Amino acid sequence: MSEVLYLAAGAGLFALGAFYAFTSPELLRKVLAVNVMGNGVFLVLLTRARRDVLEGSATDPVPHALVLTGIVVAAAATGLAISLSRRLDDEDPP
Amino acid sequence: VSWLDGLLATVVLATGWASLASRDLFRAVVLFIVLGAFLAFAWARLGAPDVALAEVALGAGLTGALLLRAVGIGSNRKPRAPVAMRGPRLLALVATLGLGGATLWALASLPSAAPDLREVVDAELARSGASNPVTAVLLNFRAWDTLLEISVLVVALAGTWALGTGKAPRPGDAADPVLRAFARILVPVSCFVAGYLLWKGTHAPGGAFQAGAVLAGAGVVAVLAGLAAPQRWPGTLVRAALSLGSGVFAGVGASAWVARGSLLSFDPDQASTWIILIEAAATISIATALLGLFLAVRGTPFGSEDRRP
Repeated sequence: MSEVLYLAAGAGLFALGAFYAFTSPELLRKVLAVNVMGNGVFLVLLTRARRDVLEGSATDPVPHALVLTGIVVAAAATGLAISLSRRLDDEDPP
Repeated sequence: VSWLDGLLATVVLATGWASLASRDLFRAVVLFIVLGAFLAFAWARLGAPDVALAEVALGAGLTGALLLRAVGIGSNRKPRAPVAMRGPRLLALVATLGLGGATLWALASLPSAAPDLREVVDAELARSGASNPVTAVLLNFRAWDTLLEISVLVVALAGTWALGTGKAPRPGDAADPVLRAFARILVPVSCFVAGYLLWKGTHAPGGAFQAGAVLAGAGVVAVLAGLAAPQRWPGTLVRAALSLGSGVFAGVGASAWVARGSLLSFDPDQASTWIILIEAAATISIATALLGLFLAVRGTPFGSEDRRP
């Protein structure tokens, strides 16, 4: 039951982020929105990684490693995106 | 305890919405950090303590610091005129609602017995050199991915340096004496925590990425409090620290190629030594790269050599 709740929240975050990434005029808010989309994907991945907790070893570690990698790459991409948006603002002030 | 999961899922979604919908960008970023904190709770609930630690230190912590610094620069600019008119906005709303609904429908109709690699990992765990399965996956079974991941950080920092920034950093932000005193306590404690996370990572939640993020956080606090001046650190040292992680990782992987005929395949007897060596080197590189990204947001040079065109 609770699995569906987390999957719904994940899909919701993904759609929410997509809406603001497309419609927001501010570059920094677009960066935020893409990060929220990523968080939605992480939520879905980790929810699917959790199987029946009663079966002993509770979770599948491979998706955990994937999400860890995703968090690191998202942080790096955010840094690069902020620099790109600054450069854009410098060359073409809003 | 299904009500807790329901509450957490609702709060996560509501915080994400509140963050993106708030007019003020500063408020949006602060709510994004709050979202990260709630997500860390959710990761803990879903049995992913490694990811929860990384979320707090990196996803919410350092990314939040990066975004706050970016907001600080842009605050004196006039906001862009809102382009999206009612019609296209409504279309986007309908399209993304459809996207969310279709995603949820697809997810809910997935077979519950999905491919599960847990048993494969459990079977090989004893030969991997790490008893924490997530570390075993990151540093042994999927070492190739992690090697490239560390390289991604270096490439992202190289990208920000190559872009340069037009504005020079504002000179001499006088550090608050309270912040200074606080930083004198926080920085050593953070370094200690980073060392602990690194050491624990092979047999408990933690590891190079969490440790590197906490160490970078210590660096950020030290810079903000005026305790450290990374622009005066020797440039060659900064570059050496940056390339240490991928260098050691690639070196160990190549030596395994020579000795065992397969890239990044560790001898089960020596694997734990190699893993701790790689993790220590990677921690230094990850911390340097993340601190470099934070400094680059405001165009502060990192290392004494001037890299800006």
